[in-house]
Amino acid sequence: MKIIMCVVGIALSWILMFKANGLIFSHFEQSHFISWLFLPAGLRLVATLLFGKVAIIGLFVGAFISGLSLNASFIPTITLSLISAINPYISINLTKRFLNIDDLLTDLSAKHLLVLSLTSALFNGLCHNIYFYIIKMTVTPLTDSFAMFVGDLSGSLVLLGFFSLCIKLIRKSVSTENTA
Amino acid sequence: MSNFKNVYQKFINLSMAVEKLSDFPMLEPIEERILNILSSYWSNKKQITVVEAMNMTEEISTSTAFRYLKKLRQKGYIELVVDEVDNRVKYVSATKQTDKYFAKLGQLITEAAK
Repeated sequence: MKIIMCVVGIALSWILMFKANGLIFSHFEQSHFISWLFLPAGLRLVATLLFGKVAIIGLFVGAFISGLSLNASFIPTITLSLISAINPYISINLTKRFLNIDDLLTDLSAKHLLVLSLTSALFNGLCHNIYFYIIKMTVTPLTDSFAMFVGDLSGSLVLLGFFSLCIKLIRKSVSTENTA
Repeated sequence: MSNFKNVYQKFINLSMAVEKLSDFPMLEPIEERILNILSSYWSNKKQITVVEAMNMTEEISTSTAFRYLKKLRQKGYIELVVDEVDNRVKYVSATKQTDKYFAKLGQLITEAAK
């Protein structure tokens, strides 16, 4: 039951963030699937770090529903959703192993988060665009990979930066209330 | 599947790492107050010992002041310098991080005044 709630939560968050990104940053979009600022990339990172394999299912469901809403074909939508969901798991776990970060994220630092965002964005941009190239959805895979890499990285950093500011402001207001 | 017992611990560790991403200065009000009082000593080029720092204001009790001085030291905002003559005497001194903190505040005030 907990797993189902978790999957639904991640999928819903993805869909909402995907829609919000499309509405707010529509002028950053290079195509339906590529944006120079892609906030849901931050969700991919956070969900995968927190929920591991459960995040794959949630991200897949979210990406699949979002893909269908773009009137994309069924098979490419399933494949792209799988790439979108499995990629962060592979890249984040490889990077975690390389950086010696344990499963509880005990020694996770801001620098580690930046490296994780970077490798995840790089891996994601390349894998998506290799597939786009195979199914002839792009003729400029390198340029599109770069755009997707920048979009994922900037999206992750904007979202993490926003969380960071929120946590600090909440802590600040709580400590001010306690001392007042 | 992911162990849900660990999710909360992961969340705490992740939020701590995320918190460090922003360079927005984060000090508790008492820490801010102590640092502000100390800065007035430092700006007048006066040295202040740990004992003097614990008694520098009546607003905060000595034990509380000591506790917050330790916190400020842990956060890297102050350091203790041993007196050259009497090694029992320790002075509270500013660090590079303190300079950065006041520079950041000054920058924010200047931006707000524009």
